[in-house]
Amino acid sequence: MKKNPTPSMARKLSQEMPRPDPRHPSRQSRTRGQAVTRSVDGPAERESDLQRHSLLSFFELSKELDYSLNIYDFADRALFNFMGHLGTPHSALWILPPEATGSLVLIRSHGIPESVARQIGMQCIETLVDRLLRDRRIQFRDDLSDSFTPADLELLRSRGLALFAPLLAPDKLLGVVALGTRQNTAADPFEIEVLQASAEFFAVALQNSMFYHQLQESVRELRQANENLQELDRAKNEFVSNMHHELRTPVTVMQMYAESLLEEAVAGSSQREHLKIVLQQTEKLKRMLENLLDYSGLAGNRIEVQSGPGDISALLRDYYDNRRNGVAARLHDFRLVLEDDLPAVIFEPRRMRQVLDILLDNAMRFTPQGARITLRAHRLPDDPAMVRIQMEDNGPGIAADKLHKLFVPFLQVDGSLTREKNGLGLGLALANRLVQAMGGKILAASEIDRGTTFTLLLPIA
Amino acid sequence: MSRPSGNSEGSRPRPKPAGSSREILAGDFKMSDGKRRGSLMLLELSGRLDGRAAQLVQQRCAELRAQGMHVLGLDLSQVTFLASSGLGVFLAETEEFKEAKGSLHLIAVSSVVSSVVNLLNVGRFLSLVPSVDDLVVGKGSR
Repeated sequence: MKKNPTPSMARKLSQEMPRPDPRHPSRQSRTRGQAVTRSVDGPAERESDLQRHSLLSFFELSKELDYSLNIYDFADRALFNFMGHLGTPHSALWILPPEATGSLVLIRSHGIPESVARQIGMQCIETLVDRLLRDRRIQFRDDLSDSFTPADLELLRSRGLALFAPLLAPDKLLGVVALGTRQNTAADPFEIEVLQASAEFFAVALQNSMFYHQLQESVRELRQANENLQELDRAKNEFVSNMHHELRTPVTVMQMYAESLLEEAVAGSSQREHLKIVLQQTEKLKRMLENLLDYSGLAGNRIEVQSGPGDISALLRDYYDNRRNGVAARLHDFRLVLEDDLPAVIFEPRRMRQVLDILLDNAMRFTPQGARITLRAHRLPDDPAMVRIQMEDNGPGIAADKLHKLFVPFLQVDGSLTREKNGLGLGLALANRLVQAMGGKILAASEIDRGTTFTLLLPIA
Repeated sequence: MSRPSGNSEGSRPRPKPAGSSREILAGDFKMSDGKRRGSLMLLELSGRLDGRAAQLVQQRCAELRAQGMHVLGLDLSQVTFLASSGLGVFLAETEEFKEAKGSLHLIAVSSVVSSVVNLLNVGRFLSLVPSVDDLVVGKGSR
């Protein structure tokens, strides 16, 4: 490359090149030096330039392969290098998947449509795998008439592919690179030797890169598994902690007042109040235990829900009337909005009240005093088979990335709130199971600072 | 043979994404969009066209093809080094543009480019054009 031949000189040079021997491109090239006696630089200089170009290509490749590249970028870098090394516009690279039964996977092709390169992979390259693994050398198309059918050879010729380089790991074949040769001048033995070395170097780098990315993937999977375990562990710890607090507190209260009663054996005027508190705490404990038992029962499919057609409007009005004063006492604005003439739907009244209790208690727990909670029911305009019942609040809302955790048992979206808000993180999971058992489904939607809406979809009878 | 134009470079400093910039710098290499001449889109390349730069050229070519620009000229007058990968990209992209019923032209190739092209006798695979004007008036070598 010492001199820069003019285009006309190059054309002349090209015309002086002997026609390649299609069966033995490497052998043909050995005569090239003798034939090109009238070139600008002379055959020796030209051969020297080609050898320098080959070596430079190899050195460039060693700098270009960064193990952190993905396999497609890796393949591009190598194929472009090989193409520029030999001066061919045609190349393709297939990888043999780790599974022994897997077929060759086309990674990249240049100058050959992908569909054709896939066909070549299946039709031609698959048959070469054993030979490449055995010989561990570049193979030339025109020496492979015993491996290829005439149709295979024609396919390879038509796409300009003339040689096949194995990508070898110490004990296996990683893949195959197919390349064309430049027109009129075939690669000489030195170029092929350097290409062989480049392919071997590339194979080692490719294997390192694949190991690197497999390791990265394994690390990612382990990290994910670890995060899941931590989440489960957190859930378990919170559950144990909550159970401890939730069960101990009412028992302690009852015990305290019972002791107080005992101390005041001769009952005074306070005895009645103390007994009321004992009863309240007992009732609370009873309901919590009931939910816990229900959940475990539903999880094991031991509880049957007796659903049937019923008047959902009547149930909701009745429920609203029963709860509104209590909700108002806790300074929440509870409203009912019912569509007229709702059809009968499939539900079980006791379970439906239980679900509504869970949703209403949840809304009260996680909204500030003065917040509005609205119970709505109406038909779905786009689904005549369902009725929609919603418990909607205008509280602080729940972040979108936390919504999916709402129905996970023993998890609350913010563990720090759990104890403060006296919850077990079980209610919504139970509600979800109860609604599903009644043939419906429950959805949650929320917007930060705008509020949260739980939607029950129940089938019309 | 469409390929994603993404590039994974590990922790290396990354060049600006090709799709959002009219000028790409990577070390000594620089690639910038030139003037459009009718249906011809011109890219001006300068500096060392090594393996990494070659992949940037390939990505930019793929982007421009995807945008419907099917006649592309690469001004190579300021290219000071052409690695094998660079030549490989020229050969590959010439085929890609042909397949897309378009054409890729190497314009005003510098001496380092022409010496490699001539040495490997790959001129017949490429469209080498002395100047943009020659290309616009249809005097290209192909």
